Amino acid sequence: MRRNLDRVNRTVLVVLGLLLLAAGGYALLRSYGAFGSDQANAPLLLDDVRDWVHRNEDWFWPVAGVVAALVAFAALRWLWAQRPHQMPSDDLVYDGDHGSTVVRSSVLSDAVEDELQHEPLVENVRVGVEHESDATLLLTRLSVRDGTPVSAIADEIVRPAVQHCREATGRGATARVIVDYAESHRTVR
Amino acid sequence: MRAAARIAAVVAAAAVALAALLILIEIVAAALGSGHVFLPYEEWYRFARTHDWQSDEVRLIAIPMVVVGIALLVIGLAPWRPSLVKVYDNDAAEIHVRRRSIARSLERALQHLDGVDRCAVNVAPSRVKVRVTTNRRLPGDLRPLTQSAVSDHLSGMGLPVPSDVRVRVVAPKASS
Repeated sequence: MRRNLDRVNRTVLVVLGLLLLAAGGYALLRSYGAFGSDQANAPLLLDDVRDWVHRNEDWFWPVAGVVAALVAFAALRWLWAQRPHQMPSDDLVYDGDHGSTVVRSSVLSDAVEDELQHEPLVENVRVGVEHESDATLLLTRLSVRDGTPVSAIADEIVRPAVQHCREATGRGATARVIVDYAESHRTVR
Repeated sequence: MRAAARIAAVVAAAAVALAALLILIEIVAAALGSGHVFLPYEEWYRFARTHDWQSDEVRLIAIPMVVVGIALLVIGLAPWRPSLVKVYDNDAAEIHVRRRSIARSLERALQHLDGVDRCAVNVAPSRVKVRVTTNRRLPGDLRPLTQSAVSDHLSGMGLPVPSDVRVRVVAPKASS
């Protein structure tokens, strides 16, 4: 998701940059006579252009309005995509013959967070839950004590929590963990 | 560069959306038979009819367009280093560490080295760059000490140790 947003940002910024550079560069070149003095002395809005727009105004302005609306919509969507992403919170649904049982995402994420918070090396934790077809994905932002080895994070902190999640849900589970090393340590538990 | 791109994207998206909405409002207002609402397009029209391409106003508009265009191209085309380093992957978990967090951890570790006054660390996927400001008059063996401290700290945490650890030691200027 984030990688997609980076790609979109790059692409749109490059397109906008090229458009601005082309338009500004063209105006400067023409202004300084790169296309001849006749072009440099011509008015910004030529009679031909004005007449053409006037002749076609019954369709030109509606089309311009639609294009402006589409550009505004696309730009607002692009702006909306820049907001910080929330943690996923998929509910877990067990379908049965006579109905279905729903386990709220917050129940699972709170339980995993609570377990991880009690680990002495963990300073702070946030867990999001995403359900794939056959497994639960625990998206975890983990802040651990500075200097904690990766093996300790994997074996002593994450693996037991994933195992308990598997046992509780009765289905596969994996964790995608993003680790930060905390500068200060918790003093109160 | 990713943060700069995010800021540029917010500014550009807001500017484009605002411009497109204002144009839409003016088109609708003109279709309904009223004059301009926000954009004084009648003045702009008169300006475009009475000024040529050599006018100073055109150059004053074109130069910022070129500058902003180049800036957006630089932000869009510059290489972006990954913000996360994958350090562990098995059937139970995939663990990533923030590159910036590794750099801060190294800075805290190096701060304890004898002779280090201040330090700044930059972590790239295949390189670590360290700038150490020392309080020693003669840096002596501070460079190799820092290099080995970086390697020891990273390997002690089970993080990948890049082969290229560059250390720049800045000594205080000699007073005359």
